Parts: sequence; C-alpha cells; structure tokens
Amino acid sequence: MRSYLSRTTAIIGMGLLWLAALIEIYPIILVVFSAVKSKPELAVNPFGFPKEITFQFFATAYDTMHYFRSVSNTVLIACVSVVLSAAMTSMAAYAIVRRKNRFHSFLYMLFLAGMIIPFQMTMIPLYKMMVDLGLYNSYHGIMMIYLALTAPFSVFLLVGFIKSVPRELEEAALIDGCGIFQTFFRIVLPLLKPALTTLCVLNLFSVWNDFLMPVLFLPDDKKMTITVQISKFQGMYSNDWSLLFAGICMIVLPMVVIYLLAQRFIINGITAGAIKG
Amino acid sequence: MQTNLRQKWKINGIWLLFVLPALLFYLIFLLLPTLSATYYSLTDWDGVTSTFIGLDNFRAMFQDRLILASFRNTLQYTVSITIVQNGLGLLAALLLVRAFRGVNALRTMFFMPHIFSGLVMGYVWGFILEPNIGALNNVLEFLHLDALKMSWLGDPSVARWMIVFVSSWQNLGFSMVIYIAGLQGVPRDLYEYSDVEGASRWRKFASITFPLIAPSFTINMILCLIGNLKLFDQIYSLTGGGPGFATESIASTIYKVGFYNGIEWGYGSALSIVLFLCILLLSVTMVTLLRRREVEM
Repeated sequence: MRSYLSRTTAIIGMGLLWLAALIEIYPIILVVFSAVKSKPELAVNPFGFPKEITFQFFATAYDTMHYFRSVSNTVLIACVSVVLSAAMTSMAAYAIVRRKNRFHSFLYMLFLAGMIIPFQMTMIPLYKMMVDLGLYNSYHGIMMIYLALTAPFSVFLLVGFIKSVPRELEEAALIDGCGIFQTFFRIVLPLLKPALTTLCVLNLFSVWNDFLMPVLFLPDDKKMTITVQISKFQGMYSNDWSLLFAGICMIVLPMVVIYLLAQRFIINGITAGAIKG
Repeated sequence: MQTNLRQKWKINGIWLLFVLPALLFYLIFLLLPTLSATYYSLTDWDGVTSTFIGLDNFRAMFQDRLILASFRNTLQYTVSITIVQNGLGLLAALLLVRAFRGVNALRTMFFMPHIFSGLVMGYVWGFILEPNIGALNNVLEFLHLDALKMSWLGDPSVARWMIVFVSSWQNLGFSMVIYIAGLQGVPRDLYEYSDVEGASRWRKFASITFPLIAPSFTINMILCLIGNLKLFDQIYSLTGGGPGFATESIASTIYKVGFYNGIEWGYGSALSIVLFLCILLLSVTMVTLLRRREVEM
C-alpha cells in the first residue's frame, strides 16, 4: 500500500515537473507557432497548434528588418570583440596570477570592482565621450566598449582557471630559454582552451542579446544590430504580431542551435564562475 | 648590479605589456565614465551648458514623485524576483539533481529562456498578456475561467507583478544551474548517516543540504540582487514603463531622463550615482552577512 502510494505521488510529481518545464519553454514554442499561422488563424487561435502552415511572414520580415545586413553587423561586432577580449583578458589574468605582488593584486581588485558598476552609470558620460572622440555610430567604437564591459567577468573567470594550471610546464619552458611571451602563447594559452571556449560562448550570447549599447551608440540604419532592428520593427508594426514573431523566430533560432551545441561550455562557465567566487 | 637592475626592469616591462591592453580599454571606457558621472551629478548639464550646482540634483530627486515611485518599484522588483527566482530555482535543482530518464531534457528546458535577450522575451510575453487577442486570456476563455481574464499590463499593480513573473521565468534556470552544482558537491554519506538516525526529509534539507550549499546560495543572492536592481530590458519591452510611469525602475528612469524625454544629463547622472550606491551597499552587506554564515556552518 505504502509503495503504491509513493509511486502515485512520484508519477504525479514527474507530471508536474514536465508541466513546469513546458511552461518554461512555451513562449518559445509560441513564437514558432505564431510565425507560421495565417493572420485570421492567429486572431482566433493564439495559443494552440497551427492548422495550416504559411511561410509568407518570414519572407516579409526578412526584407523589412534587413535580416542579412543586421545579422552580419551583429556577428561582426560580436566575433571581433569576443575574440579580442579573450586574448587581452587572458594575458592580463596570466600576469595577475603569476606576478603575485601588490600592484597586481590591486589590478585584480580594480577589475573586480567593474562587476558592480551598473552600465546605466557610465551611459551618459560614455555617450558624450563617443561623440567627442568620433567613435559614435562606428563598429570599432562599440567594439571598444564591449572590450571594457566584458573585462571584469573575463578576468575573474580566467584568474580562477589559471590558478589551477600547474606551473611546472611553464618553468620547464623558461629554463629551456623560452621568453615570457613565447611561454604564454605556446604553453599556457593551449591549456586555457576549455576556459576560453566557455568565456567566448558566454560573451557571444551577451553581446548578441545586448540592446542598450547598440541602441545608444550605433543607431545608423546600415550598422544596426539585430536586437535594435527588432525593437524598431516592433515600434513600426506594433500590431502586426505575425511579422514580429517571424522576425523574433529568426533571431532566436540561431541562438537555440548554438546553445544546444555549446550547452556544456555554458553550464561549466556559470558554475565555475559561481563556485570559485 | 647595473645590468641586474636593467634586467629586472625589462622583465617588469614585459609583464606590464600583458596587463596593459585589457587595462587601457577598461580604464578609458568603463572607469573614466564612472568617475565623470560622479562629477556630472553635481551639475545641471543638459548636453550643452553645465553649471556646478552642488547637491541640488539629489535634493530634487527626493521631491520628485516619479523618481520616488521608481525607487519603490525597483525595491519591489529586486526583492520579489530574488525570492521567486531563488525559491523556484532551488526547488527545480533539488528535483533535477538526481539522475533519471529525461533529466537532461528537463534541465535544458528550464535553462533555455535564460539565453535569449530580455528585450525579445518581453515582446513575446507582451503578446501572451495582451488583453484582447493575447494567448493567456484566450486560454482562460477556453477553460471557462472568464472571470480571471484581465488587462494584465494595463493595471499598474498587476503589471508590476507581471514584470516580476517574466523576469523570474527567464532567469530561474540560471539559479537552478548554480544550485545543481552546489548540490553535486554535498557528500552522499551524510544522508546515509541521517537515514540511520531516522531524520525526516525536511530535517535533512534544513540541517544538511541547505548549510552545505551556502556558497551557491551566496552567489545566487548577490547576482540576483545586482542584476535586478539594474532591471531594464523587460520593462522597456513589456510595459515601456507604463501605464503612465507606474512600472518604471531606476534604470529605465535614467534612460528616459537622459535620452528619451529630454537631455537632463546632470539629473540622470545623479540618479545613476544613487543606483550605484544601492548596488554597492547591498553587495557589501550581502557578502559580509552570507560569508559569515558560511564560515559558521
């Protein structure tokens, strides 16, 4: 009797768990469903399965939101800033770990302090600075901001990781006459591969999803990123949900693919950052 | 001696080259603007002219009804989202830490919303919660629960709770992942001892699990509090701060004051200083409080 009861509760519990999981991803399913429904169908049946499938809104959304151009912009900005950031911060983190003096621990604290500075605080002075320096509305301008914004977390994550890298290999290389640079690029950097992959994926997601920076510093139609494009799009066709959903679908799906491929690295990064901190 | 010293400086110089690139961008594009914001907060800068007015901005702020309302809202968002997100995230982690068929799929589903931008997910929920053609009211009608139908984003207090809900929905999986990592570090044999002692399930959670996942709890609390004090994207896309100004947060007010309703850059900077001080105060208190608890355990 008792085991029978506990089995029933287990089954009910499992059912509830799957229901909760379904609620978690329902909005994403809804995006896909709504994008392929015809307009009259969406109006009478906004939440269920589509009865007929149409792809007309994808074609329209592709053109009206200049999909190819805005995705290329986003990819360009994201890739350059993510790769450069990884290179620069791994060098800085390496120096911080291997040079254990006061200056370098001060630098570490300085970088960490950046983690609690809200972006809203830098936003207004940064806007003026970007205009004054002629960096407003330029790709390299926004990339430089991303280099700064990603630095605190990247240094934090990499310092934690480098601490666990054994020193013996480097010492052997130094004795063999390798310079510091050579040792770093030939010996240390390859060892950091897992941490760097994680870091790049995490930063890629945050740059891809970012809205505030590109809307403020890159409003030019031709240079606009994908999130700014969708917000502009929403403003222009605020009642055309079919079109908006087709657009959102095209933004969200690449992310889902990357997420499913790189899931392990994302989870590792979050837990490594959290537990070592 | 001379060459030794030169050698030493050469090595110092090489090491400096390692830090310099990252440090330069960080100093110029993050620390410098932060410091200038502190100065601008003492001026009435409107983008063109600026005079030093001391603490007038801060005085004005505490008489500005809209600003005070945004403080109140930010407090509500931060506290409620932190509680809901951590409560549900911990529950999900406790259920999904064991291995059973489908556990990976479930974890993936719970984490999924976190990877999308808050802005885009705000638009999607905006459709779900739309009163006339939205999915939620439609579902309620379908279930013959018409009495529960309402204008989810039209009523100020309901709209605020919707922001809490959407934000917790989106980031619950993130907390869950951190809790799962913590739970995996709890030694199995502790539970076996307590089984021998005949401890109840709740007792085991309260005396073994929860104390031992204290580090995950600390980091989750801090990330949650800092993140939600800065809440912006969801508000921008879900309610736009409306109806009226009823759902505005400090962060969204800074954006409005600085770039949307006019160019009150001095005032906006002052507001951002208050936001920063709140974050600073909160993170220092939380770290000291929670770390002390960790040590005692």
